[in-house]
Amino acid sequence: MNIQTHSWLLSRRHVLRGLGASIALPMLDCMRPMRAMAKSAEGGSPRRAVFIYLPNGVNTLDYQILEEGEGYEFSRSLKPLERHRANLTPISGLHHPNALGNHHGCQSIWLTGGEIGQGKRNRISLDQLIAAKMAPHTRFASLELSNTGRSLAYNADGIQLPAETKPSQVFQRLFEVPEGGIEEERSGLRRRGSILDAVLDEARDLDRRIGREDRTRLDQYLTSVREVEIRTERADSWLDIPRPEVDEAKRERILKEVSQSDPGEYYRTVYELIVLAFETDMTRSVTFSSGDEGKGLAIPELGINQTRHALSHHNGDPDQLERLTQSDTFNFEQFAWFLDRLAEVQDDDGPLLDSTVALYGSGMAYGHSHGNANVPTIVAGGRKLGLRHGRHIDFNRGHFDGYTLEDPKAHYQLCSRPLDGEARVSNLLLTLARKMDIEAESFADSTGSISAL
Amino acid sequence: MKSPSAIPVLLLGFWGVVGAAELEAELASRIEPFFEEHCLRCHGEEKQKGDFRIDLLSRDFRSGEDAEWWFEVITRMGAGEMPPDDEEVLPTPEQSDFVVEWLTERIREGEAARRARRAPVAHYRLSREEYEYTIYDLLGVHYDARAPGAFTPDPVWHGFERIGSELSLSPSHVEKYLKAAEEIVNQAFPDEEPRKIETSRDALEIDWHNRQKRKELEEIGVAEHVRTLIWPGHRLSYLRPTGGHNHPAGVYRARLQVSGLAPEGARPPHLTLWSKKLDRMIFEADVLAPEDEPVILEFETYLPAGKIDISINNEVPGPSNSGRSGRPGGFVFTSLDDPKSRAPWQRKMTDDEGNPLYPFLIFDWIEWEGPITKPEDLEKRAGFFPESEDPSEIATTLARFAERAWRRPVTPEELGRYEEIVRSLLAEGTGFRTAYKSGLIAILASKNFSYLAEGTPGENREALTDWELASRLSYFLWSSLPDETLLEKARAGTLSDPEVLGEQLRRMMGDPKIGRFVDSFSRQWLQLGKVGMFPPDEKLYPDYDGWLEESMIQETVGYFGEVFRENLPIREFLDSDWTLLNPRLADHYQLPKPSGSELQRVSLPPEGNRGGILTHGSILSLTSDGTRHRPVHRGIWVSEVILGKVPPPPPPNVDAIEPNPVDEPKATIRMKLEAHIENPNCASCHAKIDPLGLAFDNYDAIGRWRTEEVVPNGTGANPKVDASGQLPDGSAFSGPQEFKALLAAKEEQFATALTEKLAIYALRRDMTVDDQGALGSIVEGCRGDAYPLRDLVEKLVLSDLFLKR
Repeated sequence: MNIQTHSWLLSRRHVLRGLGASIALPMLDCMRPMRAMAKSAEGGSPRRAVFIYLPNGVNTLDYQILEEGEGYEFSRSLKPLERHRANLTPISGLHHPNALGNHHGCQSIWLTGGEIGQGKRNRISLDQLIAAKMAPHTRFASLELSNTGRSLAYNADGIQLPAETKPSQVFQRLFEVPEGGIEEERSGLRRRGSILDAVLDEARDLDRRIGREDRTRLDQYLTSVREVEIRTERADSWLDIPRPEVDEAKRERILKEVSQSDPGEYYRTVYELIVLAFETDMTRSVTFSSGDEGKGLAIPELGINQTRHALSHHNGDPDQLERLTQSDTFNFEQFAWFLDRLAEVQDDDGPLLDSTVALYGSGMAYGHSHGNANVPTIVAGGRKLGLRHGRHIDFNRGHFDGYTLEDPKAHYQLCSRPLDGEARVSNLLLTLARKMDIEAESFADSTGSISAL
Repeated sequence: MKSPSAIPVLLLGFWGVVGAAELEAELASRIEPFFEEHCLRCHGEEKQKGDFRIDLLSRDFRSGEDAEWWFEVITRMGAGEMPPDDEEVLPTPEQSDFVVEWLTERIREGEAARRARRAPVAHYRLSREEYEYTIYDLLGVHYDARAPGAFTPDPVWHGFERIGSELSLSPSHVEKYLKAAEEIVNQAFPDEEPRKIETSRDALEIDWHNRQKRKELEEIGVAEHVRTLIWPGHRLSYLRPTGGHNHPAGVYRARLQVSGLAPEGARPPHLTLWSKKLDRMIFEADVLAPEDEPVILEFETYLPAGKIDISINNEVPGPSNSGRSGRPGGFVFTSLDDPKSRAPWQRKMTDDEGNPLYPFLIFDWIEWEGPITKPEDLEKRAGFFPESEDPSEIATTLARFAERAWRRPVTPEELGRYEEIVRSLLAEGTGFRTAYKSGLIAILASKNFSYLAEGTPGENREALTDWELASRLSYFLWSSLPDETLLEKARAGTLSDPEVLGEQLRRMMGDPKIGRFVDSFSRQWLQLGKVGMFPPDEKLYPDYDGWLEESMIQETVGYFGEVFRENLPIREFLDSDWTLLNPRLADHYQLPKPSGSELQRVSLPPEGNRGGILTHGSILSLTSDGTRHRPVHRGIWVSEVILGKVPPPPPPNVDAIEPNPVDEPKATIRMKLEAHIENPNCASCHAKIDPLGLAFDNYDAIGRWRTEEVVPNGTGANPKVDASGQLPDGSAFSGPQEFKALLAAKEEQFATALTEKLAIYALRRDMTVDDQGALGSIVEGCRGDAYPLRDLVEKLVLSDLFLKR
């Protein structure tokens, strides 16, 4: 490695010591790359996580699984997932207390458990917590994917990270050497280093002269610049490690511009990209918002031309409900395809699926009236990380006399108001954090972990 | 502090605004006794059910100390959970309601105070749009901050994108600022002159089917007569400026020749040029031009470097011919009356008189040239790049750039860091241009560029400096940095002189850049960003399309511009006998089509059911959710935007309005809403919000007039619309027209609300009780002329409020 390229980084580290401006700093230090050469030796067996969001809830009447425990029957829309019975766990009865009554805000706190509303700042999302832990081992700390620019990921300051929408662009960033080659990239990074130097130096100067009160805004700025510095450092430390070779056919497939008006093709391309990123260990933390609450994809190939939002406000119309079920089923089918791929591709010792936790779900259950309880939740994979599967975990049990799908109104009620106030999505997020080897006492408003998983 | 008499309480009486002394009195006389009687027995000194005491909560609402707990209190009370039903003495709904609203207002004031709090130095980040304008005015470079992968959207607070406390920053921002700065500087000072591109494509070239036959067609002498007929919904590609190779970034000019034909009284063809890669509309227009008199349309657009796709479409409903035809060999289009222009089995194109049966576009050619560098853009960059490598010249040009970019004088120490970048890169052997440009990039990546700063460390200064004032003024009116004239006044220290300020203000209002204020403020104030947020259901609203959505927004923005330019009284916003229409909107509103295809001012017939922004399609659809109109949302919008009052939030977990059962008679949303609000605790608050929205029940979710509400399920006929109601003060109305008249009577309240929004936009912070006095005198000063819009803006700029931090 070129010593000169690194000198500015070393001096920076020196300068920044004692600055201690922000709460997020300890976390930033975790993001620092380890010696890239030594990564696999120190990384241990990789643990990976992917979080996939389905907008606007589901047709809960066709989604709800009725029996608890093992041997449950897959509901109509979940049928495509049956082939992965041994590798997944549907969970009923969960909710985010902060999402209740907050309509479509549920999407922004799905992975954070934060608060919604004026003057409220969101919290760090689970994928970013995982990213901080895994970052030293991989070229990229995390991937944020979404069908719009809106991601599920929030940083330590509760600020939303931008997402990438085009699989082809993500592929280029991950796997292709930029135009101009490595040497040009290296000098580009060096120039960027000098620029960050000046910019940080200046902010630090102001920081010294400024009163306590205005610190927060400046802190945010300092942390942010600092993190970019670390990212630059990461990029630099990986420069001399060749990017993995990707099979040409696969490369061409992902590089093809795929339209969201062909959602089957779009989802499979994104899922293939995620599998590839895991397989090549480019990152270990991925979020994918498969649809925004306002822009959930229509499925022209099934003759469904409405967005998921329009479908979910079905007004009780049986045709509309039927189309919603078809759309739900289609989305679960795509997820099942993703699990197929994860099960096919081999990691060092076993299928990728066993070292990957996949959470699939929505922040809403009954979209028509913005019911945010009993939210659709499926946990899959990660057996090597200690997850146990094969059962339907149902937190509604013990709080009612059983499901009453023949009385939709009663069932919708259960999808709008939690039966068990302690059954929180945050408990699941905490459980998953621990499976990812993160030592955490709690996560957001969690009240405990889910022992059955 | 605002004196209670400055604004008559009666006029503001919707939720009431009162002074501090009165608040104290109310707390003592009405709120504390309520707690005493209904709450403290369980949540006081003796018992603390749920470990909760009301008596110990802080009554200093501005400190926000116990705001979360107070919020819990109003939530529980609002939901009717507290006091519990088994209490012996229960308050009346009106009593509870008073307490809830009183506390809501205090919580809101507290929030506003904290949001507006000024530290010794306040930092306000530029919004995405301001960044673009600032870069253009600084360097003459167009930067598309909204392109995929560029900046993320700014957080929006009640429609506003530029509130300091909301504009947070993440590492991704810093990374994107750096990347943007690199692109911008390289575009302003390219190492080699970008290759100029001049291309043209004719009708054959965009017609994928016949393109291969050029030779053949030339031989039989047809090629030069070929035009490309574009049926409704028909999309053709290959309109891009280059073929297989990359083009440089920059502004490109395009000219294209087309005819546009429409059947009598039908919608004209709508030409769109769309880029999938850029994910944006490059150009769109309705086209009306006879077959033998095509028009030449011209536009300019910024294109990032690379290869892009551009397709042309005729986005108007109508039959598509492509499925039936596949453009069979031997049939190329030349003219509508040429029998060889269509295969015998294809749809007919004209009636027996030769009039078009469908809206057709006929394409002849498109020409591209670029990147275009205009002399005025080059002028902006002059003096920022040294002519030699002499260190002192480098220092001079860097300083000039920093002062302009940072909008203030720059000290030598500050500049030292940037000189050092250039120096150290040169020492390491980096080429001169690259090294110097790194200095420029760093200046743009500095927080001094992306943040507006007001204040001095260690001082508690109230008055703005002239430099700060110059920026506040120019970001208010131009969404961009001050120009040289304004900076001169700041340098001379005369800008805050009322006479100079007034003169500058009038100069700036006369500058074309004032259009940015019109565009930006109207969108933010009226929350137009929400239009199309939930796209209307295609099955319920098949007529809705992107062009309608765009036309709706243009109507409202254009309307605001008209009121502003003409300095009309603001009551024109509430009702009027004119608006701006294009054929698409006229069709939507079922009004006579204006001649020509442009958006233009028209008079409204009294029986047309339109007038004022409240009947604009944009406003009526932004308050709907894509499937149905939302009277409550409309009410909240009217309350916030027109009356300046934010209603208390609904308690969580309210029962939703269920869909109409298939076997029950059809019911309007209003009927269901009324049945729904049985809980008296809900009812008393809804009685204040709902009428404001129900008054517009004659307009559906996309703003079409109706007298019956279409209910998809249920038995019997669609129910009639009832848009009557009663305001809390007792005044009744029978429908939208009478309701607008009632609103017009509250024009002082409206003027106050609008002035407050102008001030929020200008000062980039929320207004507090402390600002009410200053706002009141601005409004007062315009009362005599019935509050003309420009006057309100002028008075705001010349007010104390504007000169202070």
